[in-house]
Amino acid sequence: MKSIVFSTHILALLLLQACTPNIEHRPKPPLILDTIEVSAPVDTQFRRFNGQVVAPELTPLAFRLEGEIVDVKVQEGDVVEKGQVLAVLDDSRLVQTLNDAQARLDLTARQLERGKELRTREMLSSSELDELQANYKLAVANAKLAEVQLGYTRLKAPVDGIISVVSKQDFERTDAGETVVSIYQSSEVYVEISVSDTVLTRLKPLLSVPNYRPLGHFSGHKGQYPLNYLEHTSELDPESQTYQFWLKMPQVNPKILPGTNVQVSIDMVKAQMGLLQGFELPMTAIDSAEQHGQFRVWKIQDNQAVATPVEVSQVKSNGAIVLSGIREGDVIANSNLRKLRQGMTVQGATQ
Amino acid sequence: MNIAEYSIKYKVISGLFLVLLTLGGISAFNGLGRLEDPAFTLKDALIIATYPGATPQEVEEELTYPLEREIRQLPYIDNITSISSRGMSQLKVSMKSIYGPEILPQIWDEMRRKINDAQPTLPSGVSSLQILDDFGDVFGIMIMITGDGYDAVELKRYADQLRRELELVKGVGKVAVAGDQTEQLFVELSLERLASLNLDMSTVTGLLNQQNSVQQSGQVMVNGESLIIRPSGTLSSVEELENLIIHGRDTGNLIRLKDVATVSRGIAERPSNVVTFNGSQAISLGISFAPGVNVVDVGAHIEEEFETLQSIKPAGVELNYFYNQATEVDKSVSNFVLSLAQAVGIVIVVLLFAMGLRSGIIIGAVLLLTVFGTFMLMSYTGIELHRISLGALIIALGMLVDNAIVVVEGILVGLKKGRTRLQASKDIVTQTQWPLLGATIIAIAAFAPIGLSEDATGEFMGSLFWVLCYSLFLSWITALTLTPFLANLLLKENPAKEGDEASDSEDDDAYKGALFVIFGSMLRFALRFRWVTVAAMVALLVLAVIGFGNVKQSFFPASNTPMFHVDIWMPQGTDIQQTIKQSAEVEEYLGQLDHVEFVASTVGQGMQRFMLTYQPEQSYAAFAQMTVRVDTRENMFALLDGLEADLNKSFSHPTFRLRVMEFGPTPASKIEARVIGSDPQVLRSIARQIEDVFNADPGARNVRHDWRERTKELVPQFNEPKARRLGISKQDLSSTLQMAFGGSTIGIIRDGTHMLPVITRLPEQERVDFESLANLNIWSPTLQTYIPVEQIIDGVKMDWVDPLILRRDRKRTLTVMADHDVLGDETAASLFARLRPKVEALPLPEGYELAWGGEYESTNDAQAAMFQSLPIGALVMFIITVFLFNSVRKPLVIWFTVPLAIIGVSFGLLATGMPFSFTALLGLLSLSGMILKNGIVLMDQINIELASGKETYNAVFDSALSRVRPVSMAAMTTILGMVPLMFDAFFGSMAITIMAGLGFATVLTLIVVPVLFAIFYKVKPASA
Repeated sequence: MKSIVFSTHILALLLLQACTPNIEHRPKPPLILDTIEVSAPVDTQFRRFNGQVVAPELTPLAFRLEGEIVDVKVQEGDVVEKGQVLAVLDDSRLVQTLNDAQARLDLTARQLERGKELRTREMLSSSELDELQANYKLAVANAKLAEVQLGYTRLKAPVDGIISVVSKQDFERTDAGETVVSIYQSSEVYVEISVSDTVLTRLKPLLSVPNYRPLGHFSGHKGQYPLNYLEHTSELDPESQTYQFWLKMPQVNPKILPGTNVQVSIDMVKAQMGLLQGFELPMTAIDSAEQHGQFRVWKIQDNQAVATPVEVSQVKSNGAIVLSGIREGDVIANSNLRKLRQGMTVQGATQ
Repeated sequence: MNIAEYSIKYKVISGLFLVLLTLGGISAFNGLGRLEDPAFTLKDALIIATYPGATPQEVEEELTYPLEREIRQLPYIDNITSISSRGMSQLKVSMKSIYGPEILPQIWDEMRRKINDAQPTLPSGVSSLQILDDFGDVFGIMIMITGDGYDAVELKRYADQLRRELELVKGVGKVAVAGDQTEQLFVELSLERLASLNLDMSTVTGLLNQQNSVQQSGQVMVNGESLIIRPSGTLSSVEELENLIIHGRDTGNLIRLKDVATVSRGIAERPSNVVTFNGSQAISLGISFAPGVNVVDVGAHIEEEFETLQSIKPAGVELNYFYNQATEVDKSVSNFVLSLAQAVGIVIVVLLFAMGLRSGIIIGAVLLLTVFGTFMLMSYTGIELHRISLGALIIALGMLVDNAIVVVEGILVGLKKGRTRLQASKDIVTQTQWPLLGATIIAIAAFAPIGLSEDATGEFMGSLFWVLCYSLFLSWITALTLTPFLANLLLKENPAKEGDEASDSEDDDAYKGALFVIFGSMLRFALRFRWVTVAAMVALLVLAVIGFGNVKQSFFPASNTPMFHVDIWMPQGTDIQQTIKQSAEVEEYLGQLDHVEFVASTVGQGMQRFMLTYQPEQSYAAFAQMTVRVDTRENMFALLDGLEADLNKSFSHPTFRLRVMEFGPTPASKIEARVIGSDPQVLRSIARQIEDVFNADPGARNVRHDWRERTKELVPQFNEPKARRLGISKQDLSSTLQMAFGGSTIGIIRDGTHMLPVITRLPEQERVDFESLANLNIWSPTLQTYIPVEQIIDGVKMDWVDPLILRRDRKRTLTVMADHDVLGDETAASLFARLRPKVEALPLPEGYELAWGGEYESTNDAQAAMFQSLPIGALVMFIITVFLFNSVRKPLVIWFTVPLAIIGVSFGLLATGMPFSFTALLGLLSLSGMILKNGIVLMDQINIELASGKETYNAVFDSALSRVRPVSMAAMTTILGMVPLMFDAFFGSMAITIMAGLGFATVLTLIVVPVLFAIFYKVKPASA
């Protein structure tokens, strides 16, 4: 019986649902969108590589002889001129040999002179003179050899350059061909980049573009310097499993030292490296489409929202590069994307 | 000797009873625990498991699924909802509402065991598994600690000090801190430098860990004393860490960490939760209360504690109350005391005119004493003063006077008939004690379905029933004992003034006479055209029921506290830093508005639970919530009007949702359509259709769904053959990328009680730029050197992913949500009624279902629980009436008048524009109790008149006439007593319900009961 109260209550609720009272609805807050206008396609798309300055034409220098080094005349980093003596080997034995050879030369020279005189007097057979002559020539050769050998005890700079490494100390023994100092040319800067195969194939066209030069930024040095292509390896470096790619430029002042980090920026568009020109859009303007990996944007055309599929090629720090689907000047929604529907009328506030 | 005679004769005992009630009541009132809401255990637990690096789908399949399967085995489960997001699974387990606070801890234990059992089967990447079963704690006092020029770490240090002290304050339960930022130690390793030294990252991290581990290193006995050996070199400061020596690989050189890295202390880059107060960074300090305490006192203790702690407060640091339950409770209790005083005053004034000053004083005093007695019983049974028990007392105020009025009126009539006070008291008590008891029990029983319900409603509302039970029983007892006692003291026998007033049923007094004459002629008219009367009543009832359809329905009204929330949702995938930036702008905007007292914001998740009904949002990086406090409620609504549109105009990226605080539980949204199915693609397409339906309705707001936007992700294409050749695993790649674009934890440095996670990451210039990915180097163990990461990845693709996978009871469930316009006239229920058929008309593919949640579900649940116990309650009530009259027809007569209550209620609510709320429903219950009581007493009078040998028609007529005064008096006191409550947000609609319903029903009862009686018993009108 008591349930009458409740059944009427429920009845009331049912009636409430049956007869819809006229309720004045307050207007819905309008849907306001941020929009952006697609700007000109991005034309400087820099691809950056980290490289390192390597010593150009790095040459290890060695004595041709073995022996004890008596004097290393340079230190690492010294600037040397062509012909400057860099290290001296102990030459006492060679001086001795030279003196010996010299003495023999004097002797054979005198013997030859005497022999010639005797021959005019017909006191000597021509075959004996020939022997003396040969002896003399041999002594000359020996003396020259000793002289040259003595010269080998002086290690001289083959080119103008900078001493890179000094690997032997004074009074250290060295074998023939063992590096004593390394020298490199100071007039040029070489930049080495280690790249993987995929990148290398993309970098190759760089070789064929005549007027494009990538820019290098050297850490510790202000400004950027244009670099020229030098060469690249065509085989994997067994150690790092990468290809090496070299660029060069003339030395600048202050000097850029080997080992310096370089950031090489290559403008992919200018270098005609196959990248299509794209439009940069903020990430917030890109909406997910139905299929996996597919994206779309909402164009605003005549105050109507139109979903347009786009192809996202690249993601960068300040947005995504969109290849197809939009044109310069398109107005695109940049907020409240989830509320948009195809053909919906919207108010846009261009940003 | 009956009880009235006893209490009159033994004056001392009665006097003692009176004094006891007064003193005991006052002291009990002061000693009662005070709270805002009754203690209520949330039956939910949160399980948060992290699985770093896993995609949402992997989390769902490998982590959420096994956990759900294990937990589901518990028989106590009501539902499990889960959110699988990137690297994290959040499960919410709700137990059935019949499990109370006694048994829940055991259930949680059992659940923990189940989860622990499942742990070995979980993937090895699962790094943490947290089970939170106390997240329902209510932090009634919430303080925002701010300070100009102090950063989060310094504020946290102060907050920790405060916390240590506050936890010792009596009555304080827990103190929790939110909004703190994790301090970390950053080791910024430059990959370039590492590469040039050819150092492996893992060498560095391994060394850090080894150097920092706590280990025993033996002991030695020297002269019988044992000496511990403790090598030096533990890392405990930034400097020591910086000087950590790293062994170079090839060269054999010793390198210090600072040569390859910069070490610095800082706060985590991506915080999980940031709290601000009026624009400055804050730490929120939540204080919860121990059970059964007087919150007002605790609030005062805390204030004192702050005073004494003034000395440790850093200069410039401010403590701002965000929410102070103590003042709110103080306000509501003093409001109640005021209402009580007003009610007593109104009773006295009303009765002064109707029955004389003395009667007024007697009834007023009895009312007061009954309330005092109730306090004593509440204190004895451990019921605190809170919203529900105060509400019960307020409802009771209207009903408590009834018994006393009947008795006093009876004594007055007896006195007029010339009897002595003793005799008159004895007669009336003998005559009415059982009908009054029956009526009282019925009134109590009306609330039994709510109060004794076994589920959450019962736990929350139980005190309502008990307080009503105590007070109504007491009112019956005091009516039978103290009322005659006081009447004996105060009323005069045969007083000249009132002497001739009621010498018989026909009144002589001019004023009363007019009333009686009008009523008499109406009754006579009604009795003559009884069927017309009944038809008219039914017509009115139908009209009222139809009218009821236009009454606003809002089950839980907006709270008194002039606070509102602005939820800010950025598109899913928004970085929390961006959300923080946006929320700061919105906060500034809101702060400039007029009448705003403060704006507090929380980014990343909801606030600490400062009110029982506040539901903190779970963790979302794209979520922020502003809480705005306005000076008054009126200003708040003025402010809210138009704010939504303004916000949308000013800020175009976030979606806003305005919410006012409600008394009742606030579900995530009012209208929820759950789509259950397996394929996210299909779920989303159905969701879109439902959203379109919702959006097409002019009344729907905040249409959204909980799977949120798909998010974008970058997918470096891992070239496995190449990587394998180089000895690099996917894990190596991930950890290198993590270090480069996030920061990876490599260990912990102990700094006192702080544990600072050590994070390695790249220096800023290498870290922020995504393009640096191409230049990243990775350590190849095979080659023992760094190689470019590009060698093992073939480009980077962009893809999208479903960032959140929500499940409900182990099925993927997408919920489309909408709200009604909180500021408009419409209610969620009517909006729902409009939307439901349209949504249900949508075709669903095979294997997909639709279910409704939101307010519809919670109301249904609540009603189902109530209707379960309702039939028994109704039966008990009916049986009591049968017992009273030993008849079936008489109770039926009385019961048929009950629906008439609707008439008055419906018109009353329509006239005032008040919504039919939860309290109005309570009002309706108490109203039916009062109407039944009137009917019972009237029926009893008819019985007596009949027994005295009167002719039936006259008996009916005379009894009705004789009840006019007590019934209308009781109604009048109740109605007028409710006047002050009309303006209360919570009780307003209840006041209107009772006032209008009672006012109308009283008159009708007096007419309809005789008419129905006449119909049932075929009474012919007499010639008179």
